[in-house]
Amino acid sequence: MSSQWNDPDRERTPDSELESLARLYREFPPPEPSAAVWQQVLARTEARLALNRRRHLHYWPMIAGLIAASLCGAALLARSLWPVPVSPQEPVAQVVLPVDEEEPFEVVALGEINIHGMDPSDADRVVLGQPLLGSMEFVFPEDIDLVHLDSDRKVRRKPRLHRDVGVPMIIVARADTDAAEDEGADAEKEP
Amino acid sequence: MSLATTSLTVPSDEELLQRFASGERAALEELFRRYRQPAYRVAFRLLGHEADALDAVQEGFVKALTHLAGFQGRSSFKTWLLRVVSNAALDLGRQRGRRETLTLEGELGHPQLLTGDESGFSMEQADLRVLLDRALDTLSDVQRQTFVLYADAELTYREIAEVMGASIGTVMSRLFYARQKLKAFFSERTVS
Repeated sequence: MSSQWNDPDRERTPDSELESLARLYREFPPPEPSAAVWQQVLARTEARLALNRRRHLHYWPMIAGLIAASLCGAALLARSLWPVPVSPQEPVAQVVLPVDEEEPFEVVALGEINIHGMDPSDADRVVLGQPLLGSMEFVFPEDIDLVHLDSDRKVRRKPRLHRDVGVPMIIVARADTDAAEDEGADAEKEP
Repeated sequence: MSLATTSLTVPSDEELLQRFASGERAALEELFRRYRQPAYRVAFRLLGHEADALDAVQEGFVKALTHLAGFQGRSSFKTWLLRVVSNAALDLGRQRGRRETLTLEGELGHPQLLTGDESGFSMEQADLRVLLDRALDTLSDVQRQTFVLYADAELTYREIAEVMGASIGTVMSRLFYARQKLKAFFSERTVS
């Protein structure tokens, strides 16, 4: 073969020289491993491939989890760093509280009340103005024992007690018009 | 007729790869049997050592079949495999260093290129193998890889370009310089 390479009559073109060299190397290949050696290489190759498959299957869920966690972390970080776009204010829902149908008692001043008319039977339930003697105590007419009544000398009036139902408990009568009754009352009280 | 029948029953590389992907062991065996020799020859030429070459072949098959997504059928499986094997061999060579092949090196000292003498042909073969391997040492890594893919793997310029990720012009240029260096090496030995 070397004699072929050194043959002076061989083709002198570059391609033929290259092909001659290549043929020389093909004709003297490296020593081939035995069949047993090839079987060992094949067995090792199979084992490596199987191991790679198992690793691939084993690590895939872990890799997927890491990727998902990274994406979540990146999203959270980006959300905190990025400016939040200003959105138009949405109308806040107004909470409508239930209105108490019962109006609270109104406190009015004495001058704000004008009584145009009233049932006489309600007269004993009407109290106007500030109580004269602190707390007031309501009593029935029959619970009152009239001990003495003095006439007002200036206006010449004398109080008189009416025990009839439907009239105010205490009324002021003109002294001149009720003088007879007053005298009768005085006489009634005086033993 | 029998030839036609035989050719129809031989599965293509694509069929074997599909069967391998579905877990068929016989497909791997067939692929291995089909391409182990060119892969080994390329690896041996690049590494100069049988055990290292077998390691590179194993690594190449594992990587080529594990990363089939990178193959995607754009080239033949042979070129894809040889690309991975040659890269694995170069990586291994950088790690371990390219070893001297020759078991006869110590005995022969400077082996001479013998002429066609029929007597002692086995010795001539051994010497020539030594000489061929030493000639490859004069080439750079890329020149050696290119020449080995051309000579031992019998790839075309286009296939070599695919394997090495280079243009066809680059492949031709590398082969040109490889030829020049090899020619100079053998000429020197012939004269001596």
